Amino acid sequence: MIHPLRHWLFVSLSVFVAAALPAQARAGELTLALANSTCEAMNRAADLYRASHPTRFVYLCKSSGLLAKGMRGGALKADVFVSADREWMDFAVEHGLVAADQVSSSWGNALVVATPKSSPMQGLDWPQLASDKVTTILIGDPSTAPFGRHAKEALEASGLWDRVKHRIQTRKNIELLAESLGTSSPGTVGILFKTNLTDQLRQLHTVDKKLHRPIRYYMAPLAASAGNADVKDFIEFLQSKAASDIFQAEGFDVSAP
Amino acid sequence: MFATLRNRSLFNQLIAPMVVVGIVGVGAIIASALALQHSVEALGEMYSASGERLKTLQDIDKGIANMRALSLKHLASESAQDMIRIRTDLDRVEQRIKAHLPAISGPGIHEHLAAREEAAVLGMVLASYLAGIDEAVFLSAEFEKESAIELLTRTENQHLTSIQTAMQALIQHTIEDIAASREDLIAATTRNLHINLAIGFLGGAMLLGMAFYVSRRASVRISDLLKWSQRIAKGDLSNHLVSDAGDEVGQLTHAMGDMVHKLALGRSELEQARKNAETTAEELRRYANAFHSSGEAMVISDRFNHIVNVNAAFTEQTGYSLDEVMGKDPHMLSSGKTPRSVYEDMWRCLQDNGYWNGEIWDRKKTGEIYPKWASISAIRDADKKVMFYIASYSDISERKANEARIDYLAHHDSLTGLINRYNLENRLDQALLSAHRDGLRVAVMFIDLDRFKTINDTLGHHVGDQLLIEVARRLRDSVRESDIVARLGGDEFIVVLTRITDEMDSAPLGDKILRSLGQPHVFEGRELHSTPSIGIAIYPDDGEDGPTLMKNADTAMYHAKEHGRNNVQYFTQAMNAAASERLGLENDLHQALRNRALHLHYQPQIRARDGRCIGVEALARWRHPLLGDISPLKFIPIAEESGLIEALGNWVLEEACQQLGAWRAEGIKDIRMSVNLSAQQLRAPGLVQSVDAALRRHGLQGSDLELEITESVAMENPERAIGQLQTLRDFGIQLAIDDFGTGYSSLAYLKRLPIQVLKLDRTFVRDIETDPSDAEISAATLALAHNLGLTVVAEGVETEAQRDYLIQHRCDYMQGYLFSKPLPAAEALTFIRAH
Repeated sequence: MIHPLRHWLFVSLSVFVAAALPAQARAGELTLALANSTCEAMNRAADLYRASHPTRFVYLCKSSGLLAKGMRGGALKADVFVSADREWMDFAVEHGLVAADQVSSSWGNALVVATPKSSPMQGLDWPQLASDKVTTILIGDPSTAPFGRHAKEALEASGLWDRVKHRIQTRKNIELLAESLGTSSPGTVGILFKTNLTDQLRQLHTVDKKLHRPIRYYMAPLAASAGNADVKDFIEFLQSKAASDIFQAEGFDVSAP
Repeated sequence: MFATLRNRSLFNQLIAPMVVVGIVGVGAIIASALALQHSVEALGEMYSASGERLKTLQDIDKGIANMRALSLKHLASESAQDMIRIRTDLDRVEQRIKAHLPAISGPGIHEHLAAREEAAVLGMVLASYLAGIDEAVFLSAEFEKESAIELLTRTENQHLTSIQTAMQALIQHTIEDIAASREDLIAATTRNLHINLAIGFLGGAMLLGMAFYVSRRASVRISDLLKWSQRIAKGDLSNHLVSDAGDEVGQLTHAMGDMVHKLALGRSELEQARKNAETTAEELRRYANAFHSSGEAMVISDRFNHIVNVNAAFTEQTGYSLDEVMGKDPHMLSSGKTPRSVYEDMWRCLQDNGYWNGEIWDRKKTGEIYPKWASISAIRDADKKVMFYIASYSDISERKANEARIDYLAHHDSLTGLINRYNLENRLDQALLSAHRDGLRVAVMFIDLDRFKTINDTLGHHVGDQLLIEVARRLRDSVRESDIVARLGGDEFIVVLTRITDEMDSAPLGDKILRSLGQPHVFEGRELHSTPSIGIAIYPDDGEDGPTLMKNADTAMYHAKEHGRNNVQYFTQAMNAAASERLGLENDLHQALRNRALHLHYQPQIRARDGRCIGVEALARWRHPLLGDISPLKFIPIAEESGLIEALGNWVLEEACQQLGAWRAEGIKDIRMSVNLSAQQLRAPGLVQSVDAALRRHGLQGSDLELEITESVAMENPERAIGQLQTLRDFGIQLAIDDFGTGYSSLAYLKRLPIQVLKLDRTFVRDIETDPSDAEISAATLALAHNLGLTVVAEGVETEAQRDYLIQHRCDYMQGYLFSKPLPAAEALTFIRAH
């Protein structure tokens, strides 16, 4: 007997796979598997690149964990993978998706605590997350979304996790979190990357870097596309000053690690 | 012992042995039932224990399914609050499962060593499965969903199969327990059944023997009695049997002996009395029935003529009940309208013959006087003295009324109340006779309503009938009392002016009728215009008998129609000649059609915008071998009336299509052929097929053809016309309404027809320059047609002024002598090439 819930999970996954399959690489076309938080910056960088190259880009924006697992399972095909943490890039290396020596890390990010723009909450200190002012804390799903993993780490490191755990709600990726935080009730706060604050949100606090491992992005060509000159060229472009300026403008930390 | 039993009643003879056998049988059954009870109790215990165990296993199974569902839900949840709630549910389910664990090794299980082991295994596996779920849910609560799913999957893989195996085994054992106990019970029950069967058989056999003996004895004696009673029934009343025992049969034998004796005594008296009574009753019944149920009103009076009885039909007819008339003289019903002589005759007849019938007028209780048919008989006794009078009356008022009505109908037209053709002939003969005697004249006017058929068809018979009634009234009002007004049927009326001195005396009346009938009629708020055409024949100049006068008046009327309707014509001998010429033409046309002596001319149609020729209208022409060219105005009506029009129309269609095909072959493109369609053609069921066939034969398409129908044709049966036209339209054929403005159609009707073109009648175009109102009608028609999305073709354009006016009012196409008259094919081709 298949349990109804199992069945549901299975069906959803099948649909997901079916929807993702058409994204196959074609000549002159690069498919980028991007951690959600880099999507917008990467779009701009690619636009700049296209000004001088006849390349078409296909963007797969998901949480790093879903991308890594999707590529491993064959549901996703991409030429370049950008992960929002070391862990998922390591996962890709372990499974032979990318070569360890081709992984680079050009950008970092910072976590902030934010609230809906309309919320009356002002200047919230980190320990105050445990106070009654806060009813709900939105974080990324720690098991697949790096910004959630980092948030949990920070909460655990400061000994707040057990006190705030009952207020936690998770979201699958950062864009989803930004969107649902923007429309949530005034007592709600969210922990997300600085680069993904939207017009609907107001930053309350920047999370102390010491509370979590460094937030670094890791980029690598997929092993199958590593020989592709276009891929190589594009990755070089991303490491150039011009691309770096775009990422800096979007709020990323572009200093060397 | 048997001897004493014999004198007891049959009931006692049977019941005593039954009681003895019954008591012995019951004792034996109770003994065997007690033995069975023990086995049943043992099984019951086993059942309830096993049932309990099965239920527990089921609960555990359900609990596990719940655990899985809840834990997956927990893992899928993104909210800590939701997870706390799910955790509570999980704990509750887990507690239940744990509570069940001791129960699965309950009673009954000890008989199976293997089962006890299975129960222990199940307990252990369940415990570690639940621990695994606990751990996975803990990870999930820490938002470590990936690890949680991994752990949960591992736990399920590890334990679920062994849980299911252990449960299956337990269920299997429980079922085995139940099966074993069942077998025990079946054995005990079978034993018990055998004992009971033996007891039953034995007792039954004894009872059967006893019952057989008793009933056999009784039935032999009863059958003797039966034979005796049959003899009694046949009338043999001798005593045959004596009572032989004290039981019921013995008593019955004794009683029958008594009865037979008494029967023999009473029979002869009874027989006599019955015969008498039956005869009397039958007679009475017959009379009473006849009297009371008679449909005729009946009265019985005594010798002094005082009423003694009346029947129901009488009360119904006169309104008087028996109480009201009892003892009175039937004369009380008399109305006084019956002549005295009738009564005198009646009494004389009754006296002499004892019978009279005849018609008398009586009065009902309501005072109403009515005619009735009376039959009266005098009933006399043996001395010829009157005992009673019996009278029956039938009401004949309805019959009388019907007679009057039939007489009226025979002589009058039921719609208008005017006299009819039959009566007219009589009256006209009388009038002619009277005029002949006095040397006077008689005028016979034949009146026919113009376009009555169109009115009937477009507005309905209901309006047509009203119009006829109104016309009849106006005619009646127009003539003298002594004149005759009759309706022949349809819209034909005859007015006979009797006893006039001069033929011109009829002239003022003719004009009067024209004026009177020409006044508009208003029905249901609608104004209706109808005019008459009148033909007059005068006696004795135009005929000496009724039929001739009427025929000649008809001819004159026909002439009036040909002279544009709405006028009066006097019969002349010349008219007779015209009528016969017409008949001749009809024959010739028949022949012309058969010999293909007709031909077509084509009148170009010009586009107003640029003067280009865009089509031609095909028009039939007839050159008569003796009379030369005959105008279509003359031969088309003849074709219509003689039924030739359908054949003519089909010929035109075929010929026109062939011509267009020929022009196509010569490189002429973009010319549309316009063909007129008659009412008969539109009615014919094969129209669509024959049009399609003609197009195919000559390699043409639907869009190459335009069919023109007159509005009255379309209005004749709008629903059918719309259907036919729509099918033609679907072929791409363009449809045009011809002569628009001359009939009765409203634009609303027009909207429902699938037409694209409206042809403005030449009469409006002709008077554009002279009659401002016609010019306005033309302009309005153009505007309305454009509004309806129709294009307009103006017919009969003859002058430049007409053309300019039409162009100014945005007429689309024109045809007429200004551009070209209808041309033979070759000339038409030249014209088309030039334009």
